[in-house]
Amino acid sequence: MDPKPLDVDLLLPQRGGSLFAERVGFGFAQDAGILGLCGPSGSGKTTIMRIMAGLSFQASGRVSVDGECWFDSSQGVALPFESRSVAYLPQAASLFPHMNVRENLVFAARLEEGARSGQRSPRTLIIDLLRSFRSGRCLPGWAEEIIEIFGVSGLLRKGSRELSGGEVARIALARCFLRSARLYLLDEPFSGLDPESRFSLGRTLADLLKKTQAMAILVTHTPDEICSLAQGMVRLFPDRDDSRTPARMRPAGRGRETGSTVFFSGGPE
Amino acid sequence: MIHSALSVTVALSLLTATILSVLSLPLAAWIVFSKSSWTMLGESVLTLTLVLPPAVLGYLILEVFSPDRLPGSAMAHFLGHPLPFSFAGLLVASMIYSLPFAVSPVAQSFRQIPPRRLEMARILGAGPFTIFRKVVIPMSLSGLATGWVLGFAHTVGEFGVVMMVGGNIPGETRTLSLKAYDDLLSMQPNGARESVLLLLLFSFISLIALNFLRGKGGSPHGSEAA
Repeated sequence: MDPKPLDVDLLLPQRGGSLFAERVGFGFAQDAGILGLCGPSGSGKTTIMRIMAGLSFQASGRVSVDGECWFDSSQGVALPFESRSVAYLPQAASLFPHMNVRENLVFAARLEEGARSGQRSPRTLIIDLLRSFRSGRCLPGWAEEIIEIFGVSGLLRKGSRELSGGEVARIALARCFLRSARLYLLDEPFSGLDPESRFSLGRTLADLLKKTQAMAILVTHTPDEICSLAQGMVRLFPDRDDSRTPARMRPAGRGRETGSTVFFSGGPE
Repeated sequence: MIHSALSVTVALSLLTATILSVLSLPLAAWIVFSKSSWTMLGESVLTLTLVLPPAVLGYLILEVFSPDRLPGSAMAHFLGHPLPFSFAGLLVASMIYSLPFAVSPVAQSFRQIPPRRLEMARILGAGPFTIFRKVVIPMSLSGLATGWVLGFAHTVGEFGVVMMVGGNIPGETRTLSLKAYDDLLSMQPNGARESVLLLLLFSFISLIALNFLRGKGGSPHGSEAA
């Protein structure tokens, strides 16, 4: 059987002095699409996203994408962010205050062009040093296309302080998609947007993912709004004591059968 | 007379402040961003001159750069003359003496950059140098300017070190503060008054500049556009 496009099985670290670790497992059987991740505050959504992005390794378990192992605590595999084909949009992402909207996007586009020309990994310091002096004010054509898709072309001249929350959310999303990746991790990308724009932006997102054959994990507090877009939904339960078992007492099977996660892995089957 | 002392002081302070500003970038970056535990020691050495009596520092510089010793003779070979009692020697001494004043505002403003901004640059694909040049430096401009002004002002006002290292040679190492001292000793209060007024003016302008920068500072790190 082919490896699943996405396979995650993690034992999250104990938090808040709790005696128990929390086990989360889910997978994604389709090549492209959206997997929703929802749950109340403090249920570990952001922790999971950061582990999948390779920005944190505070967990045990494994993460693999297309059969490629990104993280496996038992084998000591822990690829850093730079070695994964991943893009991450943190919660409440902000723009750089010393750049206007265009400069923010040019910054990301230049970095992506540098990565495409070959040396994303291993990251060489010399190349980075040389590149850091390169500057440009023009957006390349491919980047303009993406910016157009997210409907922020009209905001390019604005300063990063003149934007509404919804506009920042849109621009941050567009900037995230300037990086080409197999897996996009979007932590509440629609916050600050009105329901109508949420819906249309969600559609845009789903179409773009289909076109580029990429997967996205989308954290949301309101699962209803992405039900129509997502191919699957992972629901994390709140930190209730009765929902927890000491980690060592849990069966060693697949994550999906255990722990406090109800899952539903979408797929064509 | 006052012109030569003024030009020595201005040239010395401009050069010291500018070279220190350039040096403060890697130094502050190392202190703030390095995970090495040596940074504690480095920071202590860096701030040593804050508490060290200037005369002690001057004496140490004379010792180390005396032509009888290796660093001194190497330097003398390179310059064509011994480092002490020359403008170059004065410059080196001033740089060491004013180093903490130039570096700590820069380090301070590096520390104030929210870590999520640095991480944001990283997750857009930036390497360490790119992050430093495109995010850290542009967000620390007021700290850099403050460091420059402090380095300048501190060099203008220094006395003990220039006295020990410079040798008070008119036109080469006699600064305004040394001239004021000389004039007073040789019963020329008018000459001393001129130098003192000029020094006062420099200090006042520096303070205005610092207050202006403080008023502007902080804003680039604001948490707008959350």
